Amino acid sequence: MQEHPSLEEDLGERPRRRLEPAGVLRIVVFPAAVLALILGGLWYLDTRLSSGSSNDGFGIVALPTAKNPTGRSPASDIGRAGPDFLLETPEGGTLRFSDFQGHPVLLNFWASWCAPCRQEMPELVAAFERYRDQGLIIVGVDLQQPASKVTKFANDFGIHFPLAIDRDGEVAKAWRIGGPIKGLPSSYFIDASGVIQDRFYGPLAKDSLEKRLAKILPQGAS
Amino acid sequence: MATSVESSARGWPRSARTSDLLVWLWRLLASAQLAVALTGFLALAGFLAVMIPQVPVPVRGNPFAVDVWLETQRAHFGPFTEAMHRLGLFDVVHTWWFLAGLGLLAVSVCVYTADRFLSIWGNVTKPREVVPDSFFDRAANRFTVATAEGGAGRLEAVLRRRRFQVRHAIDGESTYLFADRFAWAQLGTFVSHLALVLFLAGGLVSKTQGYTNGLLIAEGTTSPIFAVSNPHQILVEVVDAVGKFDNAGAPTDYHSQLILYQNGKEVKRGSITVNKPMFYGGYRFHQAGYLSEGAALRVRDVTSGNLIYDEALAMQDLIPAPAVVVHDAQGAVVLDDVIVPTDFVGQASGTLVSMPDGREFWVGVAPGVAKNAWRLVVYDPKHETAQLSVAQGDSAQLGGLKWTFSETTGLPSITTEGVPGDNAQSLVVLSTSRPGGDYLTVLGPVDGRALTLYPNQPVPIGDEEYTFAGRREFAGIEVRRDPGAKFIWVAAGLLIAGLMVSFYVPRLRLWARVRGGETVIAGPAERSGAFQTEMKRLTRELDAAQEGPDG
Repeated sequence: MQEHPSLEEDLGERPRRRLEPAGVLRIVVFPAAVLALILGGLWYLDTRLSSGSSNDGFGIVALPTAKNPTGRSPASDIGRAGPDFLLETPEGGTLRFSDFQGHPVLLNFWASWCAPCRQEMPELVAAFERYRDQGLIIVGVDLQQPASKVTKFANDFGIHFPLAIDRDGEVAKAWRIGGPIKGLPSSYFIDASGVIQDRFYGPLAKDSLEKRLAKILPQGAS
Repeated sequence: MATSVESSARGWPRSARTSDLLVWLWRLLASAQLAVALTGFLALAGFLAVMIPQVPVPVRGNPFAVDVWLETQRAHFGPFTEAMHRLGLFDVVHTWWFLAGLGLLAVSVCVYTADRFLSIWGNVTKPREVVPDSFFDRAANRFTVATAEGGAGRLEAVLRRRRFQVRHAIDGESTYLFADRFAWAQLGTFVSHLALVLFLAGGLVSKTQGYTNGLLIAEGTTSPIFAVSNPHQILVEVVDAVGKFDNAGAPTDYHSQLILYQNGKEVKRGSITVNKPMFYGGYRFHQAGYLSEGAALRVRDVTSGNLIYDEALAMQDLIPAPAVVVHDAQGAVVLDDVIVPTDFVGQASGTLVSMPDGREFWVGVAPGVAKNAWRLVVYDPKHETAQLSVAQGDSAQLGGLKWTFSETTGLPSITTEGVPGDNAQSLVVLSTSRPGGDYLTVLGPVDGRALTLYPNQPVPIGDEEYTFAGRREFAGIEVRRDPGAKFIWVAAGLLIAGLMVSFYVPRLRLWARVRGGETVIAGPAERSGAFQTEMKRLTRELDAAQEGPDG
């Protein structure tokens, strides 16, 4: 019979001998594999849940060079041409933002579930009626709501300016709505050449609306 | 060149020190003592979290709200409050030291498991089958029995019957047996350790990936569950919110009909209750509350016909209002109603009430001297000296009328901004008249006047038309995503399985030497008594086997 230096250990009931450093390196694979398994599971869950985004051709599109008088890439900053977009309207048509170039445009991001948006909407409706003779266009971009909700809200509040639906929030993200607070409503005042002259985060009262419209209307606001 | 030599001269010892440090660190993390100490530390922290009030969830993350909450704790903890706050004792599970302890325990369990895995795996798959003769003389557990001829064969047969896997070897006069039963059960400890790791991973996943949001949504309205412009935004519409109550007013059931929208499309609809949530996209939507006191208020521009205000107001405040019964000189009841306050004078709130004879009295309530006590206050505006103050349940005479203060009730109300009119703020009060119909009192939009609105009866004032569109119930919806819950369930299953295997599978390893008329059976050192129990059974079965063929 062969003698063994630490028989009790080998018989499996005494405290196990610790691994030597070389073994430590080898066995690191085991916890790493467990960790990889957990992280892999998380990644799978996350990607499975993130697949809700629609890729239907709507969203941000390239702004034609001829429509960018700044010569700089489109951005939502004052003095820049805003990012162009193509969105679906509540009636099922399409709306391309750059098609309105040549008009002073108030681009307003809203949703009917947003209380401040509901609060400012009568002011926008009134302003549109007041200045449409000067060519003012208000483009209302609703965030991620069904068309039926948008249409009902438009009918109730008497909205007659163009509306579009940003179904996955891609356009809102590109326009960095709400700035640091990332909230609704957000308004951008764009002159007839397509350059952003001002922006406002939060509900517009009549005075603040008039002050900003004066920057883009050809005859100024009254 | 000199630099190279120097570097090399200094580098070698540093490398050795680093190696020693790693080994020391590995052994520290692999020690059971550290795991026990960390578990005790976390248990103590958990105990503190239970015993000491913790910052409520809605307050967390808002420094101002936390400061206000801390003020309420000063009454209990006095001058220690600030120090306890700095130590994180009011938010234990989110402190760096608790999370560090948790993380260290997870690492410790992983290292402990890894440190022992290969040796135990080897012990299971490649056990030492042959032991030296000396082992049979000094093993902690050993048993000697006299054996007749053919004893080795009988022992092997009995061991096999008792579910041992047996191997034998013959060395001269001696026969050696190695018997192993349920050796795989040694791996049960790893299953338990994996469970612990998964518990900790589940907690980590819940903390980093979990999501909870509470929404209060009125019937017929929609609310987003995430911050604005989240590409995975889900909108929740409450179609109907229902609350059922027993005769004592205790709630018996809350449920709501929901529709979920994503990317502008309806993706799910159904009913939810407190215990039966709706699931979508990994999120759980369940009823967490109910508010019956809501009102839909609409204001229309008379000229254009457009809505300029459309809100469902959650009446979450209560405004004190007296229930008053007034009798005339003949004893006839001339007033029996709850008085909705429209004037607020100091601490008193009330309104001008017209009597059937055309006289007007200001009727209201004011706080009494005792806590939660109210007094009815009545005065005649035309004769200001004519006034009375009555405690709840009492009566008094004024103006030839008997005024009885029945009780003080709280009327649902809200102070809100944005109602079109002259004032920035409005007080809206929801009341129910004696016949049972709801009505809304709106104070503020038109200076000096209180609007009383009955359901769907528009009241035009100037360019605006005000409409109470009816009572609206609100559903409190909790939206929760807890990917860590899956880990916890799996971990719980594994822990039970691991413990069952470790404690209830009768694993045993034996070595036997049969020589001449004597058999020595030896087992590893353990104090569970399993060896002794097994020996008794073995002896019984060996005796039976020995007697059987002879008998």
